[in-house]
Amino acid sequence: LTLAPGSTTSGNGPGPGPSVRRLYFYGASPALLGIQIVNVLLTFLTLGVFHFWGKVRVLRYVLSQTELDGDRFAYYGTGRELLFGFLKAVLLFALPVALLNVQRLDPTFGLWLEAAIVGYVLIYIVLFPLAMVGARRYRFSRTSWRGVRFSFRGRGLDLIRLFARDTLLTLVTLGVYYPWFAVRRHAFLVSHSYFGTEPFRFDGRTRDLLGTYVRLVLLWLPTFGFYWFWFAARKQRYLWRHTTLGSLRFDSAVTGWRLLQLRLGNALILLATLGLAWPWARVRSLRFTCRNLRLTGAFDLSGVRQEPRGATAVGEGLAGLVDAGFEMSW
Amino acid sequence: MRADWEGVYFDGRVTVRQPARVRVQAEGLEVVLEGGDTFHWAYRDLVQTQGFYAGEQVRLEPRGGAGGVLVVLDSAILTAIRRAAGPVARHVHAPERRWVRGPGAAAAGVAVIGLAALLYLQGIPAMAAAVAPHVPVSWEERVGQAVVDYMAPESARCTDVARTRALDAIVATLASTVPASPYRFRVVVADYAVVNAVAAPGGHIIVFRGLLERTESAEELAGVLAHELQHVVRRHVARAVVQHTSTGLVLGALAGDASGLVALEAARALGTLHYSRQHELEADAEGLRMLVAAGIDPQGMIAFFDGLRKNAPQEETERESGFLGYLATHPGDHERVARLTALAASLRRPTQKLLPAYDWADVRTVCGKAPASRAAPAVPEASGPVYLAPVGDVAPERLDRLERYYSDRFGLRIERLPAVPLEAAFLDATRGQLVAEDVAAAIRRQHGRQAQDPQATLIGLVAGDMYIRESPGGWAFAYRDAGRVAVVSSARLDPASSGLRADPDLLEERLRKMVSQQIGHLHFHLKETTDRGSVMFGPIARLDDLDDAGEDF
Repeated sequence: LTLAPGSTTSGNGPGPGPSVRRLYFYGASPALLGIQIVNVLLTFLTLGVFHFWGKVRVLRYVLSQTELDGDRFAYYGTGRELLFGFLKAVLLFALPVALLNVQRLDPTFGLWLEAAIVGYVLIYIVLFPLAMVGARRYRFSRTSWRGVRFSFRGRGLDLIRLFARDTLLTLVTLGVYYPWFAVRRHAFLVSHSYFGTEPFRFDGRTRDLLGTYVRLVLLWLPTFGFYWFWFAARKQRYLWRHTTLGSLRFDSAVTGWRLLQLRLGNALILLATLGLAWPWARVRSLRFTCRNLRLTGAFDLSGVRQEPRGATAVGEGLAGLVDAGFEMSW
Repeated sequence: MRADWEGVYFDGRVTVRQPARVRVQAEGLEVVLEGGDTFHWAYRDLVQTQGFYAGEQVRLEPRGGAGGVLVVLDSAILTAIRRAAGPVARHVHAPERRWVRGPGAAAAGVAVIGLAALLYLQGIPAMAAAVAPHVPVSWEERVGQAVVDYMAPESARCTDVARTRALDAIVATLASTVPASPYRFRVVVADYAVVNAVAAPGGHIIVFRGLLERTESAEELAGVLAHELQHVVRRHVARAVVQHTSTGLVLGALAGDASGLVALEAARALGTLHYSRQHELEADAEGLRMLVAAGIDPQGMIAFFDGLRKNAPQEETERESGFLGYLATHPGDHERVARLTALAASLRRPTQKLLPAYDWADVRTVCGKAPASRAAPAVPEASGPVYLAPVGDVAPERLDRLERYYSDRFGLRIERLPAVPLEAAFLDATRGQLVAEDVAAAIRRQHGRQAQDPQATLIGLVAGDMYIRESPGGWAFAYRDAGRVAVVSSARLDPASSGLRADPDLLEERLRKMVSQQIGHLHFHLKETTDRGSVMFGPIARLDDLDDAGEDF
């Protein structure tokens, strides 16, 4: 879930109806570039502190330019919250990570390889889930549509348990268990997401996706890895088609070919401009997501009530540190 | 100015849209909902959360986020609010001022580039210079020892006591100019043909045999050592580490969240090259000052670098200018010599001869090999006759051409001997290669009379692939036994043998060079040299080495 999901009509009417809705992204790359340049300057002048305010400006722009059923999303995060979240995350988690990195640079510093391995495993099994949960808690709680906030109510400990158990099973089964792990992880993240009082639900089953995984394994080498795009598209379509919010069901029109065009195009844009044109790449991705995501079923969210949940930005800070962004959910 | 606006109200409890009429008044907004409910929002309690960019709806909420949300599609309401409310509504966005964003972003872009350049060229080097003195010497020594062990392992060190003492004396003279230095300076001579010297952190300096043999006087070596000592004294390694890390941090800030990794890595690589250039320049200038302070004539240093420049392959002198000049890690040599000459002229001081009690030509043979002089005679002093002995099938035209070549080019007469028959006993069946020692022994047997002449040189020529039993690498281009017999194999000299297009001319040239080397060793008593212009260049590890070498002695 890169964006808070929802649906859109072509008209403005709020009434329930069986029509297909989609998200619209109206943002423009030059505006995003302008925001980014000013962010860089201020980040420089404030010795990095502005970074967090800059991040808020970008997110606020992106969500404000995203429309569902005639209404825009809104982002309420603040630079102050992100800064303190980051500082706490550093204190709590980054020190062990930094120690491990120092260790890796110079093995003569005297820590043992075993300790390093245990450390990395801990990062993966403990910090990743915590970051994923924390980042969602914060970002969802700061996102609203029609005046009602989203929330994420999964507990970090539960995801840690899931990671620990399923990582072990994946190792023991030499990777055969991995599809179950991926789907369980996804189900956890979706089914603990809420829009107001209304939960998102996931009814997918791993066995439906097994064929997709088998195909990936078989076709990976013969297609020089290019089958990955078709695999990812199939998987995305399946995962979205089994996601619901109330009477709404999501659908995705992503195809391997379109995904390949998006990713290769972005890679070319970044390479050709040494990465400076990333606003274009980002806008392309956002348009892609919005264009391919559909909502079907009765669009009736009148029963949804506001039920805000507090959340600190520690998880968001942690996600920035261990690189467990929102893309991880795929 | 309009005072009445269409809007939508969300009460913040449910998602229901309520059409609303918004009236802009002096104190605040009056909102009338469809059902008739009316309420007032004072401007000072209002926050604008959307509507900062073209096409965005205007979103107004009470401060603190509690309560409803008012959305108005027409952004002109912002201007109306600012007019009606005056200073109280100063925090509301002014759409008519959006035009400053374009120029503003452009100005910010220029400022970013300027700041980055300033930081990059001034800030970071200054910071590195400030931090480096606080890196503990013991840490530097530990790292330095690892470098030395790696680049000059015990087995490759030249440890001739008497001659090493001379080198130590030079170092001691130089070190006396920096009495407060915490480092113990030591020189290690490594037995490699490379023309280079390396300063490891913590005081170790590795001088390679190739460089030592290139020096014509103690003053020349002192120049190189002074340059390297300055790398140590000025802690260039520690500074480079600090600079590398902080450049990464700055570039990370520049890119923000973006994954502009390509730009980062490219810029960082450029940056480190640049810093090492600065360090080279610094080591040059300070090294020269060190020489002068120690009473050593700096002309030796200049002469040595000038000699390097003259002997450098063409492409290296070409990259002095322009962008490629910037990319080169070491300062363009021409520029370098000019800079040093100018500096030396400004620092005239009395000097005295360094190591007057030593013969430098002897000291520099610390690795036990007498170097070929820079000015080798065109055709050196020779001994007796040279015989060419084909082994097995060798094309007679090939032998004709070789014979003609040596007579035309060097006035050297070569006598051809009858072919030695190839025997199965020469072949190592498991490797499928000829055994060089056995071939040489066969030549010796077959041509007993010539082999017994202590002045004669016998060069065997064989078409098959060959290896040396005593030092079995993959293969051998040539082999010389303890006496005066050599064997050259043409198998691997053929470009076709490495999967390339067959090139008879190139094969012929390589064969000539290989034969010339044997003649050089056995007939002219020359030694292998590091001078690429000479046919005696060596060691020949790869065909590229052979192709680089010249054709004259």
